[in-house]
Amino acid sequence: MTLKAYIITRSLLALPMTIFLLSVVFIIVRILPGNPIDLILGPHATPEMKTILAQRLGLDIPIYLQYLHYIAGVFQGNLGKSMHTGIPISQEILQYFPNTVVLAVAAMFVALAIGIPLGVLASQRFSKTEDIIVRLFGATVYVIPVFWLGMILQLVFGVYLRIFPVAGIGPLPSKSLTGLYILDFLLVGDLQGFAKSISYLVMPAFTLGLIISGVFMRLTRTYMVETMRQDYTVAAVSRGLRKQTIIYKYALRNALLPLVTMIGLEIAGLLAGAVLTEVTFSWPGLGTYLVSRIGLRDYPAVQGCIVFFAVIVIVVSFIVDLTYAYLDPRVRL
Amino acid sequence: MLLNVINLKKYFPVEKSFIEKLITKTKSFVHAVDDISFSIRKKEIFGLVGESGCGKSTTGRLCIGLIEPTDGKIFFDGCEISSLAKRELKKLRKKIQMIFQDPTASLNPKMRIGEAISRPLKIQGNYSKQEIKVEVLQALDTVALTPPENFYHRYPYELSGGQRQRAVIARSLVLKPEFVVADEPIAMIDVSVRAQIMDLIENLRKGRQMTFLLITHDLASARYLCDRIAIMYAGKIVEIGFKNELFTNPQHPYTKALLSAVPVPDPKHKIDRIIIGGEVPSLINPPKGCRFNPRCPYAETVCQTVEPILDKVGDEHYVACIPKPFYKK
Amino acid sequence: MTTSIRKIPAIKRFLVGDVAKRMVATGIVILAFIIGLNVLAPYLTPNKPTGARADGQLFRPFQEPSKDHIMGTNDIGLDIYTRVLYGGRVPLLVATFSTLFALLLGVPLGLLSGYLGGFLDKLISLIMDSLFAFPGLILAIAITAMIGPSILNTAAAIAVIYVPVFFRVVRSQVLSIKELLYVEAAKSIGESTLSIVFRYILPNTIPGILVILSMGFADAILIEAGLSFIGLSTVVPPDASWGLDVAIGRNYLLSGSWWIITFPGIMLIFATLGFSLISEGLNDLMNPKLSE
Repeated sequence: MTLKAYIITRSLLALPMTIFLLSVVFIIVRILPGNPIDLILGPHATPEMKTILAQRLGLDIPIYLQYLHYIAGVFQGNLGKSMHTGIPISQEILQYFPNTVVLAVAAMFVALAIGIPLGVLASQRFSKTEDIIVRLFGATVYVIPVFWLGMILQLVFGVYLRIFPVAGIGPLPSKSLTGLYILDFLLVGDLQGFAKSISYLVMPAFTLGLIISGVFMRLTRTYMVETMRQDYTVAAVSRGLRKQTIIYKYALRNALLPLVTMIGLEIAGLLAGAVLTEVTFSWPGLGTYLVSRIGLRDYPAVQGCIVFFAVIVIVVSFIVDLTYAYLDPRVRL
Repeated sequence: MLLNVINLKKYFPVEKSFIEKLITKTKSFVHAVDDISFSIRKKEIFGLVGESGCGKSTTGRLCIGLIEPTDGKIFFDGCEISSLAKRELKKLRKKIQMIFQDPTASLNPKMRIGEAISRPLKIQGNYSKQEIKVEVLQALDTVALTPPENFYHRYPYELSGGQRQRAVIARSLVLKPEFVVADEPIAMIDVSVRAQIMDLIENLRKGRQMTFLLITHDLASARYLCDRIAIMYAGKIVEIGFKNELFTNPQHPYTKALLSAVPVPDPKHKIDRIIIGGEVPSLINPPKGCRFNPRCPYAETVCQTVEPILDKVGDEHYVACIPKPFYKK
Repeated sequence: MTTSIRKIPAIKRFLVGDVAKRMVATGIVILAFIIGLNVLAPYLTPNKPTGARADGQLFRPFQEPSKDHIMGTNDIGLDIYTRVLYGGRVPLLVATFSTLFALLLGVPLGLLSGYLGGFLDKLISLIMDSLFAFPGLILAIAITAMIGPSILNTAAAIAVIYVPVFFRVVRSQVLSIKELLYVEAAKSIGESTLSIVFRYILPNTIPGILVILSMGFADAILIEAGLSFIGLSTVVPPDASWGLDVAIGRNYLLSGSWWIITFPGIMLIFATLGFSLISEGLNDLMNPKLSE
């Protein structure tokens, strides 16, 4: 199959996927037991109050019409208005989302910076003590609750040692240009502000990155070990190539392709972890937004937020698949 | 005749991806079995010989009703297999069984030998627990897995390759079938135990009056066991005949080539070897005319256009070759 | 020379096999320890399951670990050691129910979809892949927020995440198993579809299912704790649950009350580690090539 044909097939797949996930969100919010109106108004609401709220939320029309309105709205980028603030939800989301992106990207860097070297080390000391220690490390970081690790770091580096700020995102730049505040600092030339915001970023990014690093460590190790056993690697060894050359030119390079896919697949895990990390560090991202709106019973906002996550996941998995197909023609078969 | 195969065809559709289906409308097929006919007598061991991929295993599966033919008919004892409903097919399984090539792969690793052998009885129903146990132990005994009680509770991994194949044979014998299709029964087992399995088949034919369709790529074992042999090439039968006739007086160039590849344990023996070049043709687009013509050293122009049919050249000896270069008048 | 070449891999294989077995054994010991603590809790502490004194009175709040309270007391004066002992009940129950739900739904669907193939398979796979791609925790948050947290509700929300995991593993195994000769042999002796699926295919997928099962337990414990942390706790104070206690401790972090979060957190890690060690070890034992 040509790349073009693959893109077409894959796009055709993305549409039903989107509709399905949107339907899942709809089912969760509208159809599962637990009517938003009852949840918002509590048990003592009068029928009149319920009717008024139902009208405001657009819940007074037949369920299939609600569904169609909702799907049509999502495709137009309309997620409704927040009950709490009255602001369009898409606008609110776009305000919080860049902060999540900053955290997620930083955490991904941390994860790769920890995971890949440890994976290389484990594969080189295969089945020896170092390997077992690294694997144990990988198994352990996977099971640490991310919020607990965050809190322990807050205690040690924020409360006791006072090296990093305990929580928050720090000061924001004077002007918002790109939406990504950290880039804006550099663009307006505010290096001091940049340094300060980095100090706020260190702990949340490290917390989330460490938890995810285990996946990359394991993957690097597996692929390195596999490549080192391949005939062409053995042939390279027998030709007398230096060990370093073999490790970095042959083995690591082969491990990079699956790593690229893994980065894409981990976006889901990253977003989930980001929700908890954000709450832990009072980081004003999408996760904090979601959780605070759950607390405020702002159901349109909760629904909009989940829809947004769904769209992100679909877009990212689409991009990942295309990248992979571009890099590895076998996928297209 | 116990089994009659008439103009049997089996085409497998070639799997296409979603996009390809949209772009092209033409369907392509693998012509695995393309119009073959033969019949097997009661108490006969009939050999079907050919290279891998020539359609001989597909023929075997068709003969027991495991897959449905695209066209053509198979009559077993007068009843047509492909027209049978599920319930009738189940009854037929009492009479027809199959032995597969790889004994390790044809046993469920999570099922004890006794259970595996008892399944055919349980599927047929009408047997009490007591009867089932007796039958299973007897079947184990027949295939010389003795003492049978010892093997009853074992898992396949606790058996050797030869023992596993005997367990597989026991499973196919437990219903006392009349006809067994044996698909390369000795190909995957140690050379040292092959003779035992071949003797077992021979004894079953003599003792139980059973009929076998032996599918093999190995002419030597076919010569040892079979009464008559059919040679298959690219989905077609090119030659059928009695074993001795076929080995001493082969008519088809392909048969001749196969025979000359069989080593003869006699240093003085000289043979005029026929070495064929090229490769087995694609079964998706088989060559026009005689399928063997691109590789045949005796091919004439007629061979490229006219498809040969089986011609009688001797006593029950048929060959599908137009020039018949070895035919002595 | 020849002997040394042959020996090394054998020794390595032995070592690796040993590591995998040790992982499973360690996991089982950890779990036995945690379940033991839960069962023996009444004998290990004189206090009530909430951490209050046997007569219902509270202790002095915010006590640091001491001889009387080896893990200190929390914000309202409940003994943390006692709460740690009893606090595993809720997460373990939620994990058990959720993996059970997911197993009962995901495994049959995977068997069916993989064995039958065709349009049905494509449809179910698309649905499962979409669900699988979605961040599990966020899905669980959404469901729990709507139906309200309780042991069964939370378990159901987590199960939704794990159904596609069971489905995918079982389906892919079925796809490879159904091409094996013993399935064809089963057809040749006249086995029915149902019998083939349950007698010949299912038993051979069980090792894979076990790996996912113990991984599911680990994830469910983590997700239950995560839900507690963001305010969707399965139980309400003063009932004890590790996740809830960590969430409570967050409010007193700045005052340096480290003990409130530390001990329940360690128990969470312990429990999750137990399950994930079993899962890892089983996986290694199943695929010796990858783990070597």
